[in-house]
Amino acid sequence: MKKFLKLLLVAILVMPFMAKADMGAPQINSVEVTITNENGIDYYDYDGETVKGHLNKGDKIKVVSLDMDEKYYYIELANGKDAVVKSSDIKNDSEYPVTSKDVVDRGQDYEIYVFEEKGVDIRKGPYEFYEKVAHVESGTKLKYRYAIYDGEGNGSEDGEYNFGIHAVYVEQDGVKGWINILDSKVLVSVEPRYYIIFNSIDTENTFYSKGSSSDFKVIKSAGWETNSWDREILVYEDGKFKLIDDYYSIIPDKIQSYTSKKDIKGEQNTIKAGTEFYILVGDDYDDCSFVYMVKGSNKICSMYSDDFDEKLMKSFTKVSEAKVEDVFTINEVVEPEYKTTITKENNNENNNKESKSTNTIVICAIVGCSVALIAVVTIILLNKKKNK
Amino acid sequence: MKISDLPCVMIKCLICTILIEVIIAFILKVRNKKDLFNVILVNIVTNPVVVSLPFVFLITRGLRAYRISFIALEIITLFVEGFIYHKVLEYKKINPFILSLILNLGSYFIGEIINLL
Repeated sequence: MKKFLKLLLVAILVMPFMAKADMGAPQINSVEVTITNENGIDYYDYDGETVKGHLNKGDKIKVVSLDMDEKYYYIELANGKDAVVKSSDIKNDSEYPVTSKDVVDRGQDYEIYVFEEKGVDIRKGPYEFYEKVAHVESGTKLKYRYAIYDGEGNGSEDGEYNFGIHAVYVEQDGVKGWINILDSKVLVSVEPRYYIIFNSIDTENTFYSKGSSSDFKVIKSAGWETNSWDREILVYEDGKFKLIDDYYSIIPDKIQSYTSKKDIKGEQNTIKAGTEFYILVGDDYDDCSFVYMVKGSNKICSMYSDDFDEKLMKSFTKVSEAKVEDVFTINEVVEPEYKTTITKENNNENNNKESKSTNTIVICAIVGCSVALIAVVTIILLNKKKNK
Repeated sequence: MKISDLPCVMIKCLICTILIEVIIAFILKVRNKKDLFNVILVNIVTNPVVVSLPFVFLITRGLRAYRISFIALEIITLFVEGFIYHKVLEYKKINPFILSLILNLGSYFIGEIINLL
């Protein structure tokens, strides 16, 4: 009896730790969510009825979820404690209005382009817990006017910036809702721009060390970029569209040429007096260094010096302005073929998915118990023979 | 983990648990073939139930019920296995309940190591 009690005590102390993972037992992953309801939401005890507290708009929680709908979402609060919230409070059936405080009216229509191969979803709100209303295929171009910025200072309140946008509101073919564009699956439109690209990484390193390179190309983008700080651009290369971020710099459509009355001596390069040169990057006088190309040379060079000052740069004489395509050889811009249709969501499919998940669990439990029963019977029979 | 993966996960758990517990039993000098077979059968009795039943609690009663049921089932498993070992094993060197504890602890820790790898 004492041994039995000791064992019971050990089991009670040890088993909770063992229950964490029994040899590959499934884990549940969590997702961080920000409360977006204007008035916040209540959170409850595990019975789903006793209110334990209130979450305000902007509060962050971790939602523990499975791939199935539930009456409640199980959450982890900022203090690490567990609670539940009603799924209707987070997974909203209602639409996230464009009049919400964090929504910016950009004043005019802008375009987005769905680059993600699998397409993206349109939801009633800017977060995945909002009900899905439609699916947009890869290659679709849509318009939007309202946007939510990512809340980390990327973007501006008046919608000036075209990047740092978390989600945009689209309305087309009777479908309206939000698309999350923060993860580079959806591109934002920009004016087609010119980029200097070194033809190899070594060339870029050579440029930095020697201050010049002839191994570069200038391309014009189709006008689509990712919506992130490391602005990847959509280009057509090797027979397909792809995103690239290894460009050296953007240059303006028109580039200004200058001459100087004196020699311009930099750390690595010198521009002789009277030589006409184009400034490609950095002609704003605030940063006393620039990237240039002597007219007719097809070699880009960097010019910087500790002796530089704004006064020197202001002494340059403007000669002429030229279009980039007149100075460099630019390949023809290839634009993708755009789709414009949206596939509306069949919510019956979602309900069927949820039923399937429940059925799977129930069937697995029934099978598990049946197998256990068969094993018990087998043990009895196997050892009954011995006893006989 | 997706719910649709649950059947595969159950099979994987069962196979791994059986392998590890049989090896540990063998190390503990359980050499009788019938005893080893009984160890396999005992795990077939308990493992699928412990893995699948908590999910039923999860969908009907919630996360807290899931966690509690998991712990409770593990404790019950310890005693069920111990009881069965007591009744059927010819191996008597170690108390059957302690044997059950050792085998379950072993499969847990080795499982954790394998998961980490």
